[in-house]
Amino acid sequence: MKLLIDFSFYIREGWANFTRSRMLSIFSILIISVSIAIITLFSTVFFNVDTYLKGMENNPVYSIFLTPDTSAKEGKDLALYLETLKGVSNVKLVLPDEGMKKLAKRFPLAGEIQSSIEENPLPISIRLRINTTAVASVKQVLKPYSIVESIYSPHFFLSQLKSLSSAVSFFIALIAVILILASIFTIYNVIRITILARQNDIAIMQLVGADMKYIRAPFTIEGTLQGLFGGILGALFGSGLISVIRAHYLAHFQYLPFLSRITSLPLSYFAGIILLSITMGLFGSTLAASRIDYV
Amino acid sequence: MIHFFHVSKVYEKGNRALHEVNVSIGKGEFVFLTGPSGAGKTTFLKLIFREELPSYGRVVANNQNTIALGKRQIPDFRKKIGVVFQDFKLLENRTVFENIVFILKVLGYPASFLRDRAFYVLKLVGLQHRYNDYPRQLSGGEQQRIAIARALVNEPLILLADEPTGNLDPDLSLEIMALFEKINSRGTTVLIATHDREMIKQMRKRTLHLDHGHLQEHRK
Repeated sequence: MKLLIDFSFYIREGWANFTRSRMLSIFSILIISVSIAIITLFSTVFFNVDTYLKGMENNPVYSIFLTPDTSAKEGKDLALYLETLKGVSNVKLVLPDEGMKKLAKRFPLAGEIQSSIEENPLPISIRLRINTTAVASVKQVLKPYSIVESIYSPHFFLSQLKSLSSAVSFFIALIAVILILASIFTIYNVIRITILARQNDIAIMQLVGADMKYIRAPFTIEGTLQGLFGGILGALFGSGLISVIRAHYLAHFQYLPFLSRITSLPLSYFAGIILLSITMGLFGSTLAASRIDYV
Repeated sequence: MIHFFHVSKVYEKGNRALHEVNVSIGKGEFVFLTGPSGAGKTTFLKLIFREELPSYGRVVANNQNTIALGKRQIPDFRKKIGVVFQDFKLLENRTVFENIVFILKVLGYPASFLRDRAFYVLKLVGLQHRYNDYPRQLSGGEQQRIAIARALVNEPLILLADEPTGNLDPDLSLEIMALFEKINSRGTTVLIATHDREMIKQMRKRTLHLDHGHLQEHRK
């Protein structure tokens, strides 16, 4: 019961402090919200790249390119045979015209080149999904087929993308750490300023026998509130920014299709980001409040 | 209750406030501390509630040596001492009622007790009708009475008052002194620093006289 009474006292005093130093609180919230917005932006990119890579990893799409003199019938027969193999799914025969249409849709320049040379240089190909455990056996089965020119495996591209993604993730994590430290530093300084502004009140409280927890806790609550509001504002601002970027810029990235399909973060991620912001507020203000010394 | 053993207090630049003070004040005593301005009265009080530490000697209040008190023990030590400060030290951004209730809250009193107790002490100092005003809206005398109410609210074992009637008219001063006597009659040790000689004469209590840091005693 005592704990509950004390806690309600801290909350009320913390809220009173928060509203009393309104300008400082707003300043702190704005700084935190900018940091959180950038973190939200980065997290969204990271989340989408990660989802895309996982999707590719779990369901890799292979392309089997056939020699230029292969007829459509030979291609169709091979496709039908592949469908019967274990671990193979989504087999689709792609004729040169259809292949060029797809290429031109993703890379308009390729379409222009094709129309200028008036000849379609693309061979017949077969697109299919192969279960990772069946890849070796499928390759073995295809070896005797002289019409198979090459097999395109997404793994090289995937591993390249993964190493690029981990390099970018490291960079993002580094920036996030800097932003988190900057926010904690801001909250620390704002709370220090409010402590200095209320030094007289603090001295009075101490002289009448107030325990340190009664003096320090409201400042901790004040910083935590700044973290909470900064977090909510930053997450909203960040997700709004993503919507704008997606609608105005990413929609035109045809050759990186996953960018145009970028999705907002799931609610659990938003909750995590706001929790991070609250923790920043709690940490910065606790650090500042711990420097109040006994009179 | 309060003991000074060979206490000297020297501030920076060698400014000596108290010199070799030896005195004992028993439980339930009513004592005046008098002397001219700058004699060391405020320092004497500050040493008791450990706002200051002696440069030499030892101060024992409520059976606790103030030098030996750890930082974390200070709040508990002060909870048993009510202080009326010369400059009132009221919380400017809180109402009269909040100023008094705040003490009870930080001392851990239950919520049900706060309101009744706060109004009781406000009634004692005759300011229950100003409960919703802020200190800046009160006169000097009213602020002083609020400071007295705040010092009394948790029924301390020791009550220290630094010039508590300095801003009050003679009639009100007598009323406040009667209030201090009433508190004292309940067993609280009362020590009042004042240079109001007329008051001291009328009250006929034990008087400690400080002059340039030296203590002399007059028993009536």
